[in-house]
Amino acid sequence: MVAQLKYLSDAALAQLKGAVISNVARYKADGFLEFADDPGWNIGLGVEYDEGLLGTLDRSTPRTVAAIDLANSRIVGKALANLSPTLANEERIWVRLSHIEAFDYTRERWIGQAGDEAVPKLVEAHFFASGQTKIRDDHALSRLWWNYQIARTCNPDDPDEALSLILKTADIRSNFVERIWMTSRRNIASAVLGLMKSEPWVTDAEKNFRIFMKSLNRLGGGIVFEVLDTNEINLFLKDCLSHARTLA
Amino acid sequence: MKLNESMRYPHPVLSDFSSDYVTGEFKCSFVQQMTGEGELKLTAELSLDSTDLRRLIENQQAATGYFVVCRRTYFNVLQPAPLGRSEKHFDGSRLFGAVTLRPAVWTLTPVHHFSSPLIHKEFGASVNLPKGAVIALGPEFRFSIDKKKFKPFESIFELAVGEGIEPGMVQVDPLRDRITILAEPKTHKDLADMRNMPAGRSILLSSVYLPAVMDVLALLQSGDTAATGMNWYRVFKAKCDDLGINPADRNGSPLMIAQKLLRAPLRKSIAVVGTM
Repeated sequence: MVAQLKYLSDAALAQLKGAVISNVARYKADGFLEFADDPGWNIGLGVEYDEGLLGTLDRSTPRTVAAIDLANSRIVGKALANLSPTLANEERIWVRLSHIEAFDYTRERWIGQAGDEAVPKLVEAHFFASGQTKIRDDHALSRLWWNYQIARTCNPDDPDEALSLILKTADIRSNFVERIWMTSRRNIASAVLGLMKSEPWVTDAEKNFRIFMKSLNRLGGGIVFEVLDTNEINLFLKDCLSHARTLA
Repeated sequence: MKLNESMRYPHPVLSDFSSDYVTGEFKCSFVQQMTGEGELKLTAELSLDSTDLRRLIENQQAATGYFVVCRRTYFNVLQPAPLGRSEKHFDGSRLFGAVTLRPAVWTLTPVHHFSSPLIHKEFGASVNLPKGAVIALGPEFRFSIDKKKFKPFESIFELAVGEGIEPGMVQVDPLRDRITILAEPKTHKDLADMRNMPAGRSILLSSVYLPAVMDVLALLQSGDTAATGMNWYRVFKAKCDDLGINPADRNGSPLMIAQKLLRAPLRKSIAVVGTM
């Protein structure tokens, strides 16, 4: 089921942001569907998405959040596969999705049974997405899209496997996605993922992964990985691993 | 793993920020431009004033180029580029906000016993350069991709109901936040339905949006500036600037300009018919 992505006008976004407190009841209950066709809420983006797939988001909030985020990142990444990285930085697209098309998911995942006083802060964090950090780490849908996009960048042949490695723990995810200099360079990023798979020590403890990434940062400064072949990069990573083990 | 001015390398690096070489210079300049096809065109001018490093390049032991990095989109590409002038294109849909360019010279093979009389004496008589080592670093260049330019052009249009218009016809009102295309209720609904189908959108481009843009251009060319205060005008003007078009120039053909702004919409209509 294919539909067109929509987004809010600047004016509608500003108005919505200014009315979070007065809209607490809406955020806790029925949402904003009545505004879906208002001109300021209904600007066509010219990009199609899989409406049916997006509707399958798992709304539960179990103890193993990482497992749910993994499944949901695949859903959002695939349902919104036509979204370009440029457009995925546009807050108004994500605000439309979290308030209309994926409102039920966003409410149940991030508001749940929270009391009225807690709602505005949760709404600001997970229904809106101003700036890179909020888009990448906080917004209910965009964080899932970027998880999948980063996995796809690191390992286009098997983004699902890359995703499961990156999302093993919240700490690994943040250490991975925040190191843009490494994550965005496909051959070193995919080699790091390979090492995470083959060397259990790297992800056995959050501390290990942090130390390994620091070693990588330190030893990899100034290396042009783009001209190294797979074996050369793997040898380099072995050095980083040895260095990290001495520091652990 | 960054490349920056404060890094220290175990081998000499020619740059403005180090004194590893007594003399020599890696000079770089860039001109950036967005094309009508939504690509970033970079014209680079690289020059290397170092006989010893140039020799490595001539022997294919080293290469020149620059990193193109956009943190917002995780775009990070090492673009090889020859010394002198070169032109490269990058996909604009993968860029957003600040873009940085970092020119560099790097080794393609290990270089043993590299020596130069111009290398600072602290490095000794000769050094070994590993493969993939940065050996010259240019200054960082920064610019920003204006996100307004990436707004889909159709986002500045709006369909709305206008009473008293003959069925099957439209009128254009440019004096609103968005360029508003008015039609009577039944025609408006038909147009809205068409807009939600890919084939329908392709046909609308030629049959509705193209003449609407021509109408707007005619207004701007008449010298009436009322429309320039509207919200849509910023996006419209940015698109024109990208294409080197002055929308108020009376010598410009509204038909030709509109076709350029909408990227030859007839092509899409022809493609739709081709699939029937």
